[in-house]
Amino acid sequence: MFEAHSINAEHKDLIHDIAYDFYGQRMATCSSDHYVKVWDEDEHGNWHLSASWKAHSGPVWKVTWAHPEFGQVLATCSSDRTAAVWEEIVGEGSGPGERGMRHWVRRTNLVDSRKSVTDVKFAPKTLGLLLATCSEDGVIRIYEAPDVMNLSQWTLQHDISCKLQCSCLSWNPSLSRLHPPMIAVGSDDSNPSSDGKVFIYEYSESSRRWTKTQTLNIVDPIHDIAFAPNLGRSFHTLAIASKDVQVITLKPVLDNVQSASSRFEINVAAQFSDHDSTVWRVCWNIMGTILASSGDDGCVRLWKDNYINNWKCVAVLKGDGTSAQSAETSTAATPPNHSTGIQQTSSTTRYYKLGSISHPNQVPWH
Amino acid sequence: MDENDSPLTIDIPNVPKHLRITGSWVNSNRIGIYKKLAKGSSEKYDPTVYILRPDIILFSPQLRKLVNESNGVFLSIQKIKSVSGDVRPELLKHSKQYRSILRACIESLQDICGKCLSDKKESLENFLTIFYQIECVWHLIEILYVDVVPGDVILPQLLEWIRFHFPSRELVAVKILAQKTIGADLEYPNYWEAVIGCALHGKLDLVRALLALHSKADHPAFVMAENVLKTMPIYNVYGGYSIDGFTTCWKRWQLELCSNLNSKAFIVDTNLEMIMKLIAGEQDMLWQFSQYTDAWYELLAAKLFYTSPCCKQPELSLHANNISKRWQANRPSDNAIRAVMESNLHRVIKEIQYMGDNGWFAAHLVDLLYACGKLKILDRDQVEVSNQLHESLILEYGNTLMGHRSLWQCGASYLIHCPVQGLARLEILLQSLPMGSEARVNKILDIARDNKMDHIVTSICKIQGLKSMKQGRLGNALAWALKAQDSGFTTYIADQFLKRYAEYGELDCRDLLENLGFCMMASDRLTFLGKYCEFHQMYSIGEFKEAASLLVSLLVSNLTPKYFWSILLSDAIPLLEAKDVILSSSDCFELLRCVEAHGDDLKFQNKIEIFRLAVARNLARALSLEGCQVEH
Repeated sequence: MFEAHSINAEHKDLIHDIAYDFYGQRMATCSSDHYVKVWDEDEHGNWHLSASWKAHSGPVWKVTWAHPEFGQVLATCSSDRTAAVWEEIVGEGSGPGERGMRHWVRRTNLVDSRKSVTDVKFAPKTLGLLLATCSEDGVIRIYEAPDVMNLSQWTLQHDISCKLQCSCLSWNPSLSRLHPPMIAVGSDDSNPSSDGKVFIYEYSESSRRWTKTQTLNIVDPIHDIAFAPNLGRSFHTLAIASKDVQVITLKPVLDNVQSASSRFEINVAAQFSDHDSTVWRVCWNIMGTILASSGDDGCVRLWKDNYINNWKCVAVLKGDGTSAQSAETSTAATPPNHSTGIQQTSSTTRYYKLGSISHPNQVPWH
Repeated sequence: MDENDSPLTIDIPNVPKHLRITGSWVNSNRIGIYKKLAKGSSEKYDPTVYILRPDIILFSPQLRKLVNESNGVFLSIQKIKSVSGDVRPELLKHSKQYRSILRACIESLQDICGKCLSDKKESLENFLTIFYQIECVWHLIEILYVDVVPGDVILPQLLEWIRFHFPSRELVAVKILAQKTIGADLEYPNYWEAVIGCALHGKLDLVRALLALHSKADHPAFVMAENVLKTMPIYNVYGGYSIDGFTTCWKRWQLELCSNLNSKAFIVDTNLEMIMKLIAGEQDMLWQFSQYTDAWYELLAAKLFYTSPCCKQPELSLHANNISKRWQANRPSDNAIRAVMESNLHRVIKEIQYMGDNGWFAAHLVDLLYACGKLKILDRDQVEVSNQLHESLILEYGNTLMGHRSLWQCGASYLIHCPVQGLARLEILLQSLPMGSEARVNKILDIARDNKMDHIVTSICKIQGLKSMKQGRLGNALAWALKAQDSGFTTYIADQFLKRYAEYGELDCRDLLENLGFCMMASDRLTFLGKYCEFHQMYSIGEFKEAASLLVSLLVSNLTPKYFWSILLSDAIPLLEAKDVILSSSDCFELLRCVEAHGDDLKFQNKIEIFRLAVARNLARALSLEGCQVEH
């Protein structure tokens, strides 16, 4: 029913984040060991390490890809108080080994933060090449590369103080021109007395400023936050990882209602405490149709809404309880799409079949 | 759909329980999992990443034909939807097409199954089960929802459905009959099984023929049985009877049979007597014969045939419920069939999603019922949500196909027919398709263009252009940039051409640059590049006059990039020194103005004296020549 493919990522310490490129064919990993690694998938579904470099002088918290229109570009952020932009360079030499050689160069080092930089995200491409960072010093910074063909020039366009230490941020990916650029920021400040820990900022074209237009009334520490693609809906969908999983919808209130105390009509579309413990990460699939939440209970849960917007859990992923050593001989390696038997999986990658359709009575997750 | 369903649990091998794991989506249906250690854990960290994806059976090469052919039928139905008038007969035809695709698929699976090794065989047999059940359910739905049954008496169609799906005993019967041996009961051990099977399916002519071959066929009991069977009234809409008239007639016949049974007329043979009891509608006998049936609905058909031959759809539900409950049937297809008979479409759709076919059945069936106007689904507040349900199932199916390397075009055609979210989803998915070969990119572009997604066309072309540029293929990059209609990017690439020329003295991709035509207008820099290329072309074929006028027009155009002035000015020197006077006096003044304004480039310093001298000499020659021309 499911296929699992394992890759030894060769990091010497905790992996903090994994990001896949636009096509799901490249994977960037970052870790406490200060390293960033890039993996490429070949046509047989095997992943190969294509680059590995020491990116920071502290644990690397997050890694993220820019839209491919800007080339092969990554951004990272770290506890060393910096964020960095990296570009892959393809060797132009004509020697047999040289041509096509790839390596990543640091295009810029963003050193404005006075504390650990906790998240970094590229803006939707329609806004140009924009990068937002947030940090423990409670400042959100928006950088821009005015010339998209020259990634070594970045200017700090805005710094927005949000007073509380920030843990995560998300751009609203909606490409519609009907609403201004929007960022949601979460704080993992542990003081429960404050008003709320999720802030919505919007950019005003006329004043050329980012302003806080909404605070969501969640007082527990926020660990992760993610906007879903809009898909032409009249509202924005935001997933929040806190002590539980929440899916919030934000429907812009029409402008002619001047008395409106809030910019949005806010609804909790779903709230689940199934993890029964802290939820650390939330992640939408590219369509924004399935939400994956990861919690302290050792499970990744997948959530989906149906045709009448009822959210429910469609799958729970968890460890089977075996340790890596004991299961070395467990399952035969069978690559997917196998037409011939000659594809030898490399030593770092393995395949597993997770059960078979012995009885065709399994719910698909989509 | 049901809130009480428990979610699917997937165990990941080699991961200790309760170890914190984090999931991160790769794309629309693959998810990457990595581990975290709990705080203060002394365990050694294992940096393994797992990528999970659902196994999608529709991606198997054996089912490729099914996927593609059913797509054709689906698209054809979308065309019918827009036609007014009674479309039901057309839709029935399409329903049959779907089923014949299914049957072809089952047949080919059976063929391959016979030939392949055991490890593959298991999955093929699974496919067979899945699609066999689908065809069976579909057929019933076709009878009850798509087809128009005259008089609403459904038994004849129901029997046909049963006979179609459980042909084995009738085949045995036909085999026995073919031998025409008297005393067949002695010769064939499965003689009675065949008779009972035929009786259960209501194949009375076969029953009679078989009984005629029995060793005691001349015995009065058998003669009487033959008589009873021959005279049994069978309902037929076109038979001229009203339902009431038929029922009286049938009841009379049944009463007579019962009295014969009571007088032990058939006691000479127990099997014969049992069959006659079944035919008289005895409930207990029906259940005794259940060992000869493979599914509860076989028994249901027999029950209706012998106890309630004029059954209409509403009564069907009650009978179906009783029998399936007693049978304890609960395979997904059992539940689906029961739901169909109960006219509970909502439940049918729910059940068929458990059949393991990745949504093929649900999407196509619901679409067909939707087109028939038979889909009426209400939510808890009694609001009709059929549109949403219909769209969501087709979206899911299209989405699934979009995840495959070559079926994505098929998937796109489903998304296009989803009015609410289809195009928005297609937009995202198209952009995230891995590009690969140029042919593939062009296919993606075609679909984007067909759906008026110009920004996606632009974006894809730009990405391709950037990729070509990174690989040093400037010509290719320029071609993509022009397709993208991105003037900034075009300028950048034209610049790269000019810079290369400035450095190596060579223009790449001359044939492309010389044939730019109207495209040259895409950006000023490209116009400059194109014209400069033309200048070289003229110069090389000896058209110096043309070349010179091009050069001068370039100099006055204001399009020249700063780093290129020295080259343009140097290019003028040989023309100034040519044997014939090519440049006029006003051209010379222009050149002098340019060298004043732009001649300060370091690279030009060693040539500036020669340049001035050449201009002066040419000016002298031109002036005197022009002076002569005025005098004449």
